[in-house]
Amino acid sequence: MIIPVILGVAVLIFTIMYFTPGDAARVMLADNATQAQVEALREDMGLNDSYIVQLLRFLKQMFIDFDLGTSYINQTSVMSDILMRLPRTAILAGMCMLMQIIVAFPLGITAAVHQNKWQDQLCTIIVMIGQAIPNFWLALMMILLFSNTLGWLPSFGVGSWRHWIMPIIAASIGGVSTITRQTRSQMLEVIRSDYVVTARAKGVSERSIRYRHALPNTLIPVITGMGTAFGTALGGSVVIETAFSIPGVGKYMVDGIANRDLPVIRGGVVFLAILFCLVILIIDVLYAFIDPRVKAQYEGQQKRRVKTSA
Amino acid sequence: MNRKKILTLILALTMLFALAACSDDDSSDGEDSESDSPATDSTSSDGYTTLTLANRTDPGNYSPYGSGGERVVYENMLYERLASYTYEGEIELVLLTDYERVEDGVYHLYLYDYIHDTEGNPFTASDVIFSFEKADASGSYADILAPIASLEAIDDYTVELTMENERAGSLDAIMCSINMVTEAAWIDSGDDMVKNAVGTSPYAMVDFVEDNYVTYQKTNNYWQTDESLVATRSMANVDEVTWVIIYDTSASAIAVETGEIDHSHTTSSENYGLYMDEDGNAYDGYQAKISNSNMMYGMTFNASENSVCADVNMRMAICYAIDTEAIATNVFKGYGRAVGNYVHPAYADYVPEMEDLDNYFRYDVDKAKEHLELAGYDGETVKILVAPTGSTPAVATLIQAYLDAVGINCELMEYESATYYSYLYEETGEVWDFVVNAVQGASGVEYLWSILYANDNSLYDFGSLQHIFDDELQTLYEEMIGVNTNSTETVMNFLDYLNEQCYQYGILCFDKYSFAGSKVTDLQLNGLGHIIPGACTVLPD
Repeated sequence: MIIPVILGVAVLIFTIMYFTPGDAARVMLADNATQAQVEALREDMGLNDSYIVQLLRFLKQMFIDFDLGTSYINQTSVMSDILMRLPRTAILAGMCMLMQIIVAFPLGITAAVHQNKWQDQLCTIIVMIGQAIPNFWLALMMILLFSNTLGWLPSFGVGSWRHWIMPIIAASIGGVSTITRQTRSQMLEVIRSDYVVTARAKGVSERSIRYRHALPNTLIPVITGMGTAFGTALGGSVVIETAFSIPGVGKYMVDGIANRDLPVIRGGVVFLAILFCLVILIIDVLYAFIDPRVKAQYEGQQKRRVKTSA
Repeated sequence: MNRKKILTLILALTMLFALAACSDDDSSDGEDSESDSPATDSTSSDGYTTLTLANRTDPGNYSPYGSGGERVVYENMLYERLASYTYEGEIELVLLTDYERVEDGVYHLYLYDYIHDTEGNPFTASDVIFSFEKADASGSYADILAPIASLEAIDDYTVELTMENERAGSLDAIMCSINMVTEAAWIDSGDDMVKNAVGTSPYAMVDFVEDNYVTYQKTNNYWQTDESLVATRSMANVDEVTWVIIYDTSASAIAVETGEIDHSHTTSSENYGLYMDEDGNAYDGYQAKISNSNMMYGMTFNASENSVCADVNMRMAICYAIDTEAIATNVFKGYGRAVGNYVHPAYADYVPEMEDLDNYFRYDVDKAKEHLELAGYDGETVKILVAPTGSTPAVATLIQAYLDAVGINCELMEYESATYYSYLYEETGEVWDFVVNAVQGASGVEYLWSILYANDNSLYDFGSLQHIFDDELQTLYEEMIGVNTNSTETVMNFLDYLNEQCYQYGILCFDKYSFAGSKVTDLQLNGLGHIIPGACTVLPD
């Protein structure tokens, strides 16, 4: 499915940008150029060609030449620009996911196993606040407190681990809240299952029930959510990148859109679509490790194929 | 603990966090917020001086002929021009020893005979011509270079510049706008100086990370060894200058406060109070300097018959309906004021008589309604195109409210720059009825003709940008820009007719301040209000 999805994304983004108002040639030349100069540049850039001609040229460049193109504005390779920025965005996305694992899972499990008790209520309140606080507000408040007032952390840029503390907290708070809620609801569903009741009846310890039996079954939908969120985050968290001046993929793409830098927009979207598909693929593979039923299903299919061919 | 108590505790903690974040506690200074980023590393020793400055945008590439307003601060670090505007708006020669007018429209430009770039390539008359050719090919300087008919190297250090249809201020604009490079360095760069940029300034680029920072270092082999002849823009009092990219102006204001940076290229008037009192006196630890930036907010009407603003009465109704004084006060927090004509006091050819604050479309709802009636306005929607620059969205929002109050239906068209330009240059005249924009230029007359988008109809098939075909305006325009006819009188004649027809409307200007932290003891700005880092006096750390 990956190939048609990526092809579809490529055609879609090309079509959207083709019909979106905004003249890349005019932006490149700003408001000083004559109409003749703008026209000449449009011709030079191939923007006067028909939709089909431009689309085919774009698809050839992407999928035959494996070239994301050259930025109209920066005159640099889109691929190298993205690869340079991707690690920063990946750090942010990866650390957010880590925060979800080390904070959201324990919180969600605690809330579920102490349903309707004070621990559950406390978790619920924390989650609601986490979801209600806009990340840009939190980012600005943290800058004011930890950079301006206390002077503990740098307020912008990248460079050391201290630069990442505030962005990671601000970027992850929403995701942590969502995963906590998901974990709680999944855990509640699982711990009421027949096999958990059976395990309890057999005298299995509560700890073992929670972590060896219930948790793996809770994880599948939660991991799906986390993986999707991670894939999306690789596209860049524009708000956080802007608030903390992190030169990441999100800001790069937004600048590309504002400047009608078509190679940046098209190349960037296709690149991120490929990346997203790979993340989803990895999630699918992870299912097999987490859930023995999925693994057994794949093994069963393989055995059937061998039998049929024999 | 019951639910209410938990909720109360959490809310109290949240409020405490917000209050603590918003407190004015200045107990920490910049040193406490030491940064490990190379972009903000301000350490120095043995009198080595550094400056860390912030800008909102990365130049993308370091070509001398790119486009985009904020890239000029990076260009200024590397490239020199034949001349430049000083803080006071005067012309100061940089690469030229002199220039003379040999006959009408013909000038001789004399270069120093010992200029070289930072790579040691000599800079001669042929390089001047090469630079102009590259600038012209880029398309970014079309209006400035339009009057040039030819360029010829008379000898190694003399260029003959011939102009057709020379306009007042053309020569100044030509000399002060085009970055100069050597052809040898351009060829050696191998990338049209996109990344391997080499200029003749006393600084060379030593390090950069895209969208993060760029560092320039003094080269110590600057061609001008006679200090008395070094132009202000080419001074090099600071050993190392780093421009960091901070996208948000509020964040850069905080970074100045924490000492992470020494100066921000853009400071919103909302943040002026962080560094100075209402009288313009800087607080301890800061430098504040008013700039001569002549940015003015105004309205540009669409005179096309397809626009509701084709009728002069409609245009006047709109102008009378707007309280520009209130807009200036509200948007610029006391640092703005309404203008009394389509002029800025910082223009070189400005005289106070040009402004008439009492009569220049003074806010008058009754008059607005009278003109609306004369225009036969029937409730049609007036489309306001908002330039994506500065505070134009805030200004446009207030304009919409004022127009709504007199019964004019408005629709704000706010877009990012690509869509904005696409609509601005639209040919049918149906898309917008007036534009709210902020315009700025280095000199008065040059500015006036440039913002009028060349009413001589040469740029666009559809006439001027405003769809104006007006012979009288054209005649007055030509008299105003004519190098032999330009005078206060012709400028005022032009402005009078402009106001009679209400093609353009000046809304407000504002006091633009620049600020620096305690490390800078003397903040130096150029004619556009941009910092000249090398000319500043800076304390070693």
